[in-house]
Amino acid sequence: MSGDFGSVIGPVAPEIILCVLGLLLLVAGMFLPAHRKATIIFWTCLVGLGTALCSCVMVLAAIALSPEPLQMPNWLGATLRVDEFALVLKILINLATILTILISPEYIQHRLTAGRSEYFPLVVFAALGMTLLVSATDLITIYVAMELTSLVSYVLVGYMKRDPKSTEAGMKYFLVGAASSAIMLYGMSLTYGMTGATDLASIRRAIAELGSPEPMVLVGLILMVAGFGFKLAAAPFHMWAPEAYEGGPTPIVALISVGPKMAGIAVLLHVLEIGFPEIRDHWSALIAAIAAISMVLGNLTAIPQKNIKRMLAYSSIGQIGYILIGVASLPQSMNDWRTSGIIVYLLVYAFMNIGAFAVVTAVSNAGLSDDIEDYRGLAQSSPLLAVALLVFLASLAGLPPTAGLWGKALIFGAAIYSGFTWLAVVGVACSVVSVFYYFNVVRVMFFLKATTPHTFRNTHLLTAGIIIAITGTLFIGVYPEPFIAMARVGQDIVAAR
Amino acid sequence: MTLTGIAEFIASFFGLPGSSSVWIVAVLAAAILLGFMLLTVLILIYVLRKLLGKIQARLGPTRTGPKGIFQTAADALKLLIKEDTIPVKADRRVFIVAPILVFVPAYLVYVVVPFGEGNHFIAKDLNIGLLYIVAVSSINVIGVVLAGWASENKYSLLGGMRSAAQLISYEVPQALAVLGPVMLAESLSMQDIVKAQGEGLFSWFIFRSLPLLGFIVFLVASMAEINHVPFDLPEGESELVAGFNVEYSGMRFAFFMLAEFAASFTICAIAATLFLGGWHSPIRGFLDNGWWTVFWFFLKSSALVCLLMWIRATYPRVRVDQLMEFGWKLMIPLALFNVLVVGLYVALGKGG
Amino acid sequence: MDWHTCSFYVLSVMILGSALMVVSLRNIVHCALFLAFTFMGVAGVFALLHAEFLAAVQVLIYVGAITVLILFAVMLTQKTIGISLKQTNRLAPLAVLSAVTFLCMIAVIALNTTFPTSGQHTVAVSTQTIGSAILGNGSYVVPFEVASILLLAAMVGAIVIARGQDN
Repeated sequence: MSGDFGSVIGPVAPEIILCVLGLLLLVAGMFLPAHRKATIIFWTCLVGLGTALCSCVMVLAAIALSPEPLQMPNWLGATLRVDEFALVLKILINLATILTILISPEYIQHRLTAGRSEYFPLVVFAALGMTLLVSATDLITIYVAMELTSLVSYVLVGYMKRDPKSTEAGMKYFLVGAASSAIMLYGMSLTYGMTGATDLASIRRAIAELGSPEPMVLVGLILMVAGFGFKLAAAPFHMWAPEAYEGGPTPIVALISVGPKMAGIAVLLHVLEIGFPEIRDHWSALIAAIAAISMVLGNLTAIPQKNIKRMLAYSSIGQIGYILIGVASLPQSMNDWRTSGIIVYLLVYAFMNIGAFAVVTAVSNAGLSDDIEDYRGLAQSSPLLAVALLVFLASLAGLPPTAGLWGKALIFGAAIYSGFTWLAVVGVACSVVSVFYYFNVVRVMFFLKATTPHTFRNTHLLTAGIIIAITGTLFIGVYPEPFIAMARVGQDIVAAR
Repeated sequence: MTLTGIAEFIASFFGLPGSSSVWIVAVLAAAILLGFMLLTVLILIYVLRKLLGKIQARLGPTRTGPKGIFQTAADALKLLIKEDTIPVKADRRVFIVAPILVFVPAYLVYVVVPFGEGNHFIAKDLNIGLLYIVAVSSINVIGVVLAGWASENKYSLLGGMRSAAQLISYEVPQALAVLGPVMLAESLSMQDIVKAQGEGLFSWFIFRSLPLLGFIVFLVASMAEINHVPFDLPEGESELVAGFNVEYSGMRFAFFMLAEFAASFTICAIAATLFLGGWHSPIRGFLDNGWWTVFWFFLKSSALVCLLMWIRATYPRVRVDQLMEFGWKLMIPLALFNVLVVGLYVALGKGG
Repeated sequence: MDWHTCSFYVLSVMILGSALMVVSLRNIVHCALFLAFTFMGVAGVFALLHAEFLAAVQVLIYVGAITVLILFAVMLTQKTIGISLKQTNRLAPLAVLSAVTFLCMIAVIALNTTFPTSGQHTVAVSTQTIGSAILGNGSYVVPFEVASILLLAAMVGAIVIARGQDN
């Protein structure tokens, strides 16, 4: 083996740290004394995730600062590719996981009857799956990493065994997820059959050699995209989302509403841009259709929802529609401002969606239900939570001065620039509709009187999580330039083309 | 005269095309193996009875034939002509299929057992021989479980369940234990594994790298795999009457018995092949060719068979929870440790 | 038709027939039994393609472990003799319709596609080749290791779901 230790494992250091952390936490849960266990595991997990985050930043810095492109260690083969795009998303995923961990302890103390010490390692394994997904450039790696993320998510969503809703959610998520994995695998096997390769670069070469696109290649791609669509909860593959969001533990819902989406978008971009650029026109139309259906269906169905988690579920279906607009309008050349729209949107989305679920967690920790009705008079009983939720919802709707505005602006701009004006129009219309249901919650919080006053005593950790999310949302909103610049660093996903 | 020669003779005698001799060889080999299997089982049961008798200070069978040697044959005949009953509530089709599912894998394992040197003494030297054995012998669990279930009897169901848990648990250490010889021989083929042990007694895999551990883990796990005492919980007669086969009689019961005894011979044969040098003589080059190899093979296998019988006469049956703890908390870690040590041995041996 | 092709068709009939039984029989244990036959048929196809290693692993894992676990789970959870399950619900016609439509689509597309073939006969892949493809330098070592983490996580998850309360 040539090269020093750093260059051999350096590029995959975040993954290795997460892997070791997960195993360490599992063993710790087994051997530590019961009364200390929760605290030690929590802080170890936080420190470990922080380390992983730092290592991502360091690798990113190393790549950005070095003049020549990063040499990937030999042993990785064609399975993983660590580029700026992947690293930016890895930072986001680690950040989202840290936020999830921050809002978790009180909730699991209240709601979980079993498996408290296994909760954290499972979350870490989910994060590991997602970080692997964003740099996977091989169909087998993509599949295995996706299954790691999904299987852990199924378990975590059904974690509250005494709660029939949680059990049902886990079951439904599992069944739909298993079926979608089967569809994706079928697509992958067809692709392999047509190209004789599993790594995306070789697939591209094989397709180029085929000349005119064989219909079977298209079928393989469509089935794969359908599989990714299930993981992204994009319509028409969204059936599991409302139940999973409503029934699952709220911190977990915060994570699965953000993390798998980032990973899924990254996989979609890698597969489409590295593997199938030869048939761009075909998939561009396909993704545009999925985006339009997701936006319309998600936003319209969100309106009548009575439960805030269900409402946020449909809203996130709409949000993934916006992000898919960005994917559909990807230009031929990736060194273009249009790619950065996707990354900025994902960054913003991470802050605002996890923030919204953090507030929902705080409210349910106070003993209230997840019905929007129960948010009456939140502005009086807990001004911080009410204002926080106001900021997050405004950002989700894309209103200034929040970060959501910039995400939408970049994405819609890219769509118009690439000739998808109709998609941009649908997107703007849907955003207008979304203001209606987001501000219904605001109306309930600020203008209706609470029936019974509640006291909110939230831990500092949860408050810290919410404050980080607010800061992120507002800061990017008023000063977006550095983040757009950072996203530009990450837009170079196909430098090897 | 080789099997191919006989097959060609038969093909020409009946005027069949030359290409069919392949099939005739297959059929002949299958028939020979079946006959051999039945013969070993007959002998095994007789020896078992005599040996158990000796250990327990009895005589064993004495009446049928000189020293009672025809006793097993008489019993087999009795089983064959006995009434074949199927319980009214039983699931008829599964009840009928189950014994076959137990018997066929036990028979199929014989295909890759190297009885001696060269291609004459092995039905087919598959290049994945050892994996084939592990795979094929894992099928019989289904038969046992289904037999227990289809009988519609509480005792047999319990027996079936116990055996499912037991067989799945002990398959793991068994498969891990055979990895040792595979890594040392760098092949899965049974003949290659034997050939790698041709340097006399101390080249046998039982003495290489980590002495004894792999062999002991394999033997113990295999005993659990074939429901041998002290792991005979699936048929524990004091608790479950006779376990999964309680409702079976006559011919079908004979299938279970046959499979069980055949399996106890095969694991001894496999253990001898993997760890005791197979058909090699203990002294390098001494009487190490031709039919002598068959002699060494049977000597080693028979010694192991007697060891198993000795264990059968000696040990009390373990409890279910002890069985599971023993398997998961002792056997699997030991087997993994063995894999680690052998791996290091091979890697360092190559490097240095 | 040579024996190779002939065996392929026999195995196909075995696989498809058994699979059909799995999804249509009313006794869940019978379904499991036919599932085992389906898996064995697939192992046969592997063997026919000279992928002996895969065939053996298929038997070992799918027939010897997964089917047994399914049977085990069925027996632990309910008394099954004499219970007749209905495998379909009122949406069955729709499901059949969509499945048949998809089948026709795939069939038409498959007939209109020229599949790239190497023009060579299948050669036996040695176990060494498979080993270095899984663990060698620049091979599938990452997915292999991730798969082991995946199995560990799945096992922990399953135990958490199945186990009682924390003490």
